[in-house]
Amino acid sequence: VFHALLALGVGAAWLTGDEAPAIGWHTAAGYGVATLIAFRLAWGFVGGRWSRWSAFPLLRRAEGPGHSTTAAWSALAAIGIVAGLVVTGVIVLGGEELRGPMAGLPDPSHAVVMHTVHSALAWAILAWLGVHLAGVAKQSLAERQNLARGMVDGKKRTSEPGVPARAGVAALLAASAVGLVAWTGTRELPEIGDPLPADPIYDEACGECHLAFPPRLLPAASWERTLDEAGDHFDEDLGLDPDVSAHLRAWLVANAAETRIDEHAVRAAPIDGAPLRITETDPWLAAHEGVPDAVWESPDVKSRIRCKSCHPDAAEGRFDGAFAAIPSPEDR
Amino acid sequence: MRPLLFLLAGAALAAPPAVDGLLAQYTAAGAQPFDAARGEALWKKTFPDPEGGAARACTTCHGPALSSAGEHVKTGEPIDPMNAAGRLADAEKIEKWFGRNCRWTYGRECTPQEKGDFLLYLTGGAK
Repeated sequence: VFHALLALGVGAAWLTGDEAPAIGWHTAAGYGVATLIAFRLAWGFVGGRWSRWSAFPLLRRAEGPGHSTTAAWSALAAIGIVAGLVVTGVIVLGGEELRGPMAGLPDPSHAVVMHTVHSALAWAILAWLGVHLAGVAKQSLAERQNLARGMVDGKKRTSEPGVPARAGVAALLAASAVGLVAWTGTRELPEIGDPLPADPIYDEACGECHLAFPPRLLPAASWERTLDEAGDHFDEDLGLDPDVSAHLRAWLVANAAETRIDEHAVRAAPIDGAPLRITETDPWLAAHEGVPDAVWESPDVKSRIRCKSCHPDAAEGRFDGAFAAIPSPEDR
Repeated sequence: MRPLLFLLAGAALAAPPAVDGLLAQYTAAGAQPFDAARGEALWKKTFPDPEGGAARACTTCHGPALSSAGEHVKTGEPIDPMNAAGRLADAEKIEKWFGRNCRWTYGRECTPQEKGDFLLYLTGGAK
């Protein structure tokens, strides 16, 4: 049963990848797999006879029934790779998207490296799967028994008596696993995690005509220029009160891209030339590459400035690609 | 003259205090008695865009009627209907938006006379 669930979880995670909108399923599969791995590690101490680590002949030659030395190493490798996938995945999620159990904790530059490791491990588990299937087929033929059946009931087809599993400990493990998933699941909600800086004067002065864009999406020089040129702000003379203008300048510069280390800010900080439009910056263009022109002109989107047409978390300033969805005409 | 004063008195009953205060201020600045019909006409009048784009009017963003929800013509940001509850309650905000929107629509500041006419129209003086 463990094997079936793990294969299902890893398979689901593999297929959902990191593209929206399936990323929600990808992280859900990840949490499920994490739970299974935690369970399996503990089961190795309290589980049925053949499941125990003590039954894994890692350094000695295998004798009698149970895992062979090769199979033991293979199972350990799989658990190691999958555990690595879970750990790197959580770091990527926390560093790049400010979500998950490690929301906002990892340095985004580390998260980028972890993203590469995460992808490499995903290929590693695929390669391992090929070896695994070949190995099981070969052994089944050699031993003339269906090894795949042992994965369902954990029993070896042999006359030797087993060691009964401890049911109470198993129940405790299962309960704590459910608790872990529930806890991480709530951390997954977009509104939980570090709130982004907000300012009521900024929200009113700028947010009445358009989204009060998170200051981390542009470097300080862009915000300075926006205020310097407020008399001709995209064809409008904003006529900002000098006190309001000074307040906005201080707040925007204090929260500009250079001041933060999350994914968006790290990408926006090096932008040169103090652009006024976020939609003309390289990070924005890269993130929206492949969105067909027709989308921008559709009545549901109207304009590139209407972030919330596709980003339900735009008002919180998050812009997590996982939640973005291009509205379809049928939704109207 | 007398009907106009009646209108002003009638509007003053319904209008938020902020509007009354501004009307008094505009009068003190030399405006003549205000006329809601004149305000409505200017509200709906279109002006050419100096840069050759589509002609502009208040209704470009605020919608055809005072009860219409509007939308910022460039950003698509929703705008409450002008007759929505709680509108025109803050004199400072009214002045801010007169400033910004007169400059965009007409390319100049509105006069106290025009602003008073608008306020009378917007607060229901046209009925």
